[in-house]
Amino acid sequence: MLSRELSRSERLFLVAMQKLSTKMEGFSVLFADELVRQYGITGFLRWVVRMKGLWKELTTHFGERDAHLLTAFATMWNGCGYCAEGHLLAYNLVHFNETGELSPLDEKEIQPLMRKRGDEIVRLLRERLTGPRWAKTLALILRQRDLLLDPTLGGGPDDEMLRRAQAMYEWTNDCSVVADGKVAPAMGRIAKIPELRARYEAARRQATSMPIAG
Amino acid sequence: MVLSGHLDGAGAEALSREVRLQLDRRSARGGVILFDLHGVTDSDLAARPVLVELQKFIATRARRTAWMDDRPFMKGMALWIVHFSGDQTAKVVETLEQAKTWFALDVGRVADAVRRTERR
Repeated sequence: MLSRELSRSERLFLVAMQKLSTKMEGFSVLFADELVRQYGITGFLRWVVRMKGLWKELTTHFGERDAHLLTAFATMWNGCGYCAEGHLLAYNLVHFNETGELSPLDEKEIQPLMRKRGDEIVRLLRERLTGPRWAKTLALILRQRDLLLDPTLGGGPDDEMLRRAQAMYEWTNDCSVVADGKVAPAMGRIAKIPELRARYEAARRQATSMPIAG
Repeated sequence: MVLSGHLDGAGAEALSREVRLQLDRRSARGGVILFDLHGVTDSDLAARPVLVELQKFIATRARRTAWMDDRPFMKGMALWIVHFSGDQTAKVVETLEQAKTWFALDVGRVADAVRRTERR
């Protein structure tokens, strides 16, 4: 389904933007054309500027690794499996690159996770992210969830950043939902290291997984 | 409006007929519609274009719509519908409180999200 056809200038613009994104960021997304369909070239550029600014704030506040994790869950709660998988993969690659270890959350589990109810997802995250090592990560994800469900909450040191990021991805996911079901790239600069992806995937294949029941 | 069971193309058509009938009985444009998806076990792709057309029709008759569920995959399906309907007065929510908040606003879905990205 298409909301409208793109003009020739819009198509040329998108080709240039996709090339630039792949060169600068290491990946490009499948929903850029939908952003242009919805908002035009000017609106698309407005989204890019706001996204880049907010991403910079998010990574400054939480660090690149947790910024990817929080984005993965923000987009998952919004219903976008494509972005959730892409950012969880980026998180896992950064984590693997920094520690040499696999995180307890495989990006391939996002789709079955998304079929569960909200409280079941939270229970599963509590089971996976156990112990002092994951306490801060779990607390961040749960705070993000609490803020999403209760707009009266606030006052925490991370709250405004978490709320603004959630809103940014509401804006983004309104278009990215058209890529649902497609294979997501690692949505971060870590995608520029292809040999890391190969090592990470080999490690995942050897690891014992705990599949999420359907 | 509480929905349940497997939402296929025929089910979406039946829902569309029922909603259109109810909205046609109203004399004036206005009011809000809440679709509660918690009881829907799954949905087929065939249901989507029917629901997009339904949402377009609702946009001409109701003031605001909310599609409610707490399962991300169902929220994604509902987001797809409101996106392709082009109706900025429709939104996906997770709780009744969120639906009430949405019904009380008069700003569009994306405009509301853009506003909330700004530093306070």
